Amino acid sequence: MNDDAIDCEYVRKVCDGDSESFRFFIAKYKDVLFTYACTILVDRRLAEEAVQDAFLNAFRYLKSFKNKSSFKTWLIKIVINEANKKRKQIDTNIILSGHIHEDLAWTSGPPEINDDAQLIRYALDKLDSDKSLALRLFYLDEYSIKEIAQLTNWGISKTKVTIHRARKEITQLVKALQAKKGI
Amino acid sequence: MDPKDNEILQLISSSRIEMNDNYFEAKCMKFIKEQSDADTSYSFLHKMSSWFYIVAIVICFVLIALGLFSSPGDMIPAVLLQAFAIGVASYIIMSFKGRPHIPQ
Repeated sequence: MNDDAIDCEYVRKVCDGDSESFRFFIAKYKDVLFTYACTILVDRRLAEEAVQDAFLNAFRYLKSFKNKSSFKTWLIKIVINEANKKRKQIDTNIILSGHIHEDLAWTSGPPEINDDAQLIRYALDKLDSDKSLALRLFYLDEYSIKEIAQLTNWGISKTKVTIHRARKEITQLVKALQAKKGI
Repeated sequence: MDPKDNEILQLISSSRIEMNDNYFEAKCMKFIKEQSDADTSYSFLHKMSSWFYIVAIVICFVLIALGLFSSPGDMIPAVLLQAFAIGVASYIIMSFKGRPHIPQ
């Protein structure tokens, strides 16, 4: 049984009233959703809230899941919407209060970077969140340009341009960091 | 593309961020359980209101029939008024039944 078929089986169980079966989705996809929420929001606490809201919304509207995409894709779409909603609220608060929340920016300089995984995460965090999101969807979860356009509501051309610019920026940034750190 | 650039881009496949919160699953399931309980209690009310609606319609018809048979030539206005009132009550219940449930 492949991943999608297993997910569909659990969706059916939850729809039949076994709410406990939803635990399976939380355990399986919490890190996937957390990665995208962090990409958009940067702050871990806010990202965790966004993931929680996404799971709750997924549970509420599970009966509207029509199997047009995989369950994972459906969840990622929900968490991207939740995180964007939160980011809009934060942006409004920043404009109204006139200061940047400390958690949302690197205030204490780069953290200790010991390996390539830490280096790439740091570089992705330094990028604009749209670019970092596009790169993660493309290279981490291997979505096509068309799927990324659907997940982000960007349109095909914006997606292509964003990925192209993001590739350029991250490679330059990583090379600069490697040269600086001597990795 | 430069092989070095390609190598860098392939590193993104190891950029998954772990939540590292042991209580997250429990916290989430608590909310899911609450939502599930709210849905169950809603469907109970939903079923009850359906029965109430049917009973009200039956009473309505019985009252009209009684009014017609007891004095066919001269229908009692009070009986018709009662039937109308029950009909309105049924309509209100029906519209409440159709209202979407908004969880707290």
